[in-house]
Amino acid sequence: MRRLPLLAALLVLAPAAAQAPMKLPSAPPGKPDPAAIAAGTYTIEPDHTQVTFAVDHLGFSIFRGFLSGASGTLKLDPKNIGATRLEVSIPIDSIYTTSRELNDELISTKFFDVQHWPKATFTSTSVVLGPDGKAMVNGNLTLHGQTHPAQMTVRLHGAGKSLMGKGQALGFDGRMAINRSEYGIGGGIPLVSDQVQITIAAAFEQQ
Amino acid sequence: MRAFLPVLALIAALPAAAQAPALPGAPETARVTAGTYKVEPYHTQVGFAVDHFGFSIFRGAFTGASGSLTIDPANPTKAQLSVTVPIASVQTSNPKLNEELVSADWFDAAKFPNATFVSTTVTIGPNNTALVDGNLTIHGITKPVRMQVHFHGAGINPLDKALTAGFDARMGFNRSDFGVTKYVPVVSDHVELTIAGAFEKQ
Repeated sequence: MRRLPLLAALLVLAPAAAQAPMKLPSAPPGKPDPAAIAAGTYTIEPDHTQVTFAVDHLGFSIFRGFLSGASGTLKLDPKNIGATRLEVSIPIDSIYTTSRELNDELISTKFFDVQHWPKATFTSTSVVLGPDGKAMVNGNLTLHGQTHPAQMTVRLHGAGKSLMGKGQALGFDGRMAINRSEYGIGGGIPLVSDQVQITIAAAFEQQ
Repeated sequence: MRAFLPVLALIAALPAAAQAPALPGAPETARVTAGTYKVEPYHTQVGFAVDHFGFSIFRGAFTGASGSLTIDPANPTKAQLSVTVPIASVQTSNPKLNEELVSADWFDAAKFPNATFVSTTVTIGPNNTALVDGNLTIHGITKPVRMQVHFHGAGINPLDKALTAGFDARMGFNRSDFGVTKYVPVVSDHVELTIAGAFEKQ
C-alpha cells in the first residue's frame, strides 16, 4: 500500500508532462535546399525511413509492399559529393503488404528465406551528382545472400534543423529497379513480375 | 489467401509455360467488355503519402476495398465507379501510428468507418488514361476530387477464370478539407494517393 501515495503523486505530476510534448514548429523545418545540408556523419532515422516495392501482378495491376526498420550511416559533405558513403541494412522480417498471409509467405523459403538471409544491405561505391540535382548512387545490393551492383537515383527531399536530435536532419527520395531473379528470388515469375520497382523514403539524423 | 498461393501452384503446374509465357493481362482496352465489375479486394490497394517535417515522405496503405465499376467501352464517358474503403485497414510501418490514425485525433474510424469515392464524370484522355471526377467522402465530409487513371491491363485470370481489369490511379487533396488536420502543416496538409485498382467482371 505504501506505493499508493507515490502513484498518486505521479498522477498529479503526469498531466503537466502530458501537456508538454515535443514543441512543434509552425512550419516544416526541412527545406529542399542543398545549401541546408551540413557536412557530417548521419545515422538512419528508422521511424521515417521506408522502402516500398512494387511488382506487376498477372499484367492486371501493380501490387505494393513495404520494408522498414532500416539502420545505417551516411557520410556526406555537400562540397565533395563524390566522397559520400552510404551503408544501409534492412531487416527482411519487417516486410508487410496488405495481405498478412502473403507477408508470411514472402519471408519463407519461397521468396526471401529470412532464416538464412535476415537482412538486405546496400553499400555505396560511388556517387555522381547529376545536372538536375539528382544523384546517382552506385553500390552493391545484397538480397537473399546474393550481391549485385545496383544503382539508386536519389533526390534531396529536405534538410534543416532536427527536432529530435541536436544537429541537422535530412531526407532523400530514392528509386531503384532490380530483377529479383538475379538475387535468386524467383517465386511467382513471370505471373508476378521479375522486375521490382523500389521507392525509398530515407530520413537521417546528424551525429 | 486464395489470391496468392494459387499463383504459385499454377506456376508449378505449368513449367512449360515458363519459356515464353504470355501474361494473362495486357494493356488492350478492347479486352474490357461492357458490364459491371466488382472490386477485387486482394489486389486493390490505396497508398497514401504525406510530407513529414519537410525532411521525407511518409507512406501507408488502406486495403479491403469494395465497390463496383460499370463500363461500356463503346461509351466510356458513361462509366460509373463507386468504391468504399474501410479506414480501420490503415497500415504504416509504425503499429502505434496505425492506432493513432483510426482515433478521433485523425480519422475517427469509430464514427466514420469508411471512405468512399463515387464518380460523377469520366473524361477519356490519350494513351489509356482518363480523368475521373467524383465525390470523395472522408471523416464524414464530402468534397469533389479528380482522379487521374491509367488502364493497366485486362484479361482472363487463369485462377478463377474471371475477366479482370486493373487500373493505376493518382489523386491529391488537402486533408484539412475533410477535417483531418492533426499536425498540419509540419505533417503536410497535402496527401497524394497512389491507387492500384483491380476489378472482376460479374
